[in-house]
Amino acid sequence: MAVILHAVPYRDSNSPHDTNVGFSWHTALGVTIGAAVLLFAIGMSGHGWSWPDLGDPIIARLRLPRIAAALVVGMSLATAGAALQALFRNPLADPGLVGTSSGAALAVVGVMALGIGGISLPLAACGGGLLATALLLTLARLMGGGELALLLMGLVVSSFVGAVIGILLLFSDNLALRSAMSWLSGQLGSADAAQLMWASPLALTGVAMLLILGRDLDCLMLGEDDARSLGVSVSRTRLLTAIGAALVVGAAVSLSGIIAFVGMMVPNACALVIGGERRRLILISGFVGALFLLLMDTLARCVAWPVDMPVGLLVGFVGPLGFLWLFHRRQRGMS
Amino acid sequence: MRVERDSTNGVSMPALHQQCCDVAYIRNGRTLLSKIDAEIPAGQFTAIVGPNGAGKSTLLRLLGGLDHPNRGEVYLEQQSITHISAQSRARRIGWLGQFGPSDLPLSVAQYLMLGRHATLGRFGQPNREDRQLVAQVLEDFDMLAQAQQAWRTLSGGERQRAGLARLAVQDVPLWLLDEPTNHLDLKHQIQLFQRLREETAAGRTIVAVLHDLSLATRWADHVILLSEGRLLRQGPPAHVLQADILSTAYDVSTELLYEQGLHWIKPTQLQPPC
Repeated sequence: MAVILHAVPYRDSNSPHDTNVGFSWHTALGVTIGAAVLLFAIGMSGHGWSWPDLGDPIIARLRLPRIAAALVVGMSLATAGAALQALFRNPLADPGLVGTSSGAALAVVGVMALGIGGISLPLAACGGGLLATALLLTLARLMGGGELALLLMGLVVSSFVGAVIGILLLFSDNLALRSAMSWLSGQLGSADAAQLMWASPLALTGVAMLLILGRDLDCLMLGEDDARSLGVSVSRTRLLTAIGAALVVGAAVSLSGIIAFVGMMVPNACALVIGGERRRLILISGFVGALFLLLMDTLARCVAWPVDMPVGLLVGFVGPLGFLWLFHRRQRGMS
Repeated sequence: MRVERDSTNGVSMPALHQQCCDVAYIRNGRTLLSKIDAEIPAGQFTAIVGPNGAGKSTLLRLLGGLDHPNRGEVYLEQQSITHISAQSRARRIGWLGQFGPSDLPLSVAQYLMLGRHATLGRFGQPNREDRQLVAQVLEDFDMLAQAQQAWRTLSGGERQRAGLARLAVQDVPLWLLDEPTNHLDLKHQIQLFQRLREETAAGRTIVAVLHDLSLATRWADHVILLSEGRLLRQGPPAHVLQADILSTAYDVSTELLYEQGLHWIKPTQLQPPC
């Protein structure tokens, strides 16, 4: 299978022979698919699909905010994954694996323990994600060992922070924190319009930052020295990417808790079709990630109805398979 | 500053000259280079040679501004390289390392386009002229067929060629190459040096770290011989590459042969057993 996938040609807008004819056609296809998925998600319930009545309070008050949250979270995780994979020079990087998500979650749990809400939740999440990423970059610099160390330190930070969260929750008699346990495993059911209003601008700012950094990240993938010879300030690019990723991941975590693997799978799948040029990949991954998570959440919501399954669990079923497939493909590519 | 025509794209290019004044470089308490006073003549091909660990790559990194000396200054024309911004440096100096990326999720054309990064800036998008430049360079380097190919499918020789092509797209007057003959077979080595000679003829200044002394005598205009972090001698190949000084540098007694118009360097000790 990997052989077939390798043979998929990269479509390249920078190619000298490229005429931008395909662009509007692709956009039209994207919009059509997007509309179809959206319509499916709005109309779908435990009883099957029916033409949505927007006057229905269940749809307007519950389902639409949840759908919006799924789109924002999916976009955030996928764009962050695409950027982090370039930063770490490793296609296995994912905000859930490298500690950004757990840092954000720890901050959210801390703020919840203090009993504050509103904008402080996503802001704290961004701060926590940024601190975890900064800790990781510092650790990797202190230890040396290149990109592999970066990923391993990510695992270290992420499991350490995860343990801290676990201990906090265990010894807390605060009921709100006890309920955070199910939020942590990644679910979109609790997202409401107010949270969305705070989180979405943060996420969009982060995505814009990552898009601007796109070509700096392309250069960084060549290696540190080559990037610097091309005029890229490596430390500044790393810092700005970490901030951008923390913004989007913080927004996502404050909405949905930790959903792993989306950030790893979606950009890699997209790169197979459109190539790995970051600016394009971040844009397309954001779009595909949003739709992918919406589809997953719609399934999670309906498949075991009336039980509302956390979407993180469903993604957790598909994710490891994707991870194995990618790892296998990478090993074969290297030999 | 001399101005010459560039045969590849018809743009006139000022040939750049570099100079190291009393340069020392120390890392982790180890002195890698000391008291280096070296000259990189404009529009010529300079080879940096010396035994393993002599500091050749370190000197090349200092010339490229990738590291900064602990003592002394590296000058580009009359300007200290530490005072040139990364972006304006990238518009004048191209650097190609020994080890390209092993895995890169880009096509060859996308890889070449990264050479425009310093010119485009962070916000710019490549326009028609940039694409034409990439297409022209792909043709010059005989890589049009590989334009859409993924980086990981290229052979070692093709990667080397693509690296040089990226420098050509970067369109800088000074090229710094760290062991460009690595991974190249005989035919590709010759092609590489012919290309480098064409580039110097067009006004580019080229500095290459070379392992093979015979190649340096054959192709370079100017040779810098390093040993244990010090500059032993610099000048035209015939002046630098002499038996006595090479014996000192490499700690092996050598003898110089001149046959069929070519110089050969032959170690007289350490002959393989017959």
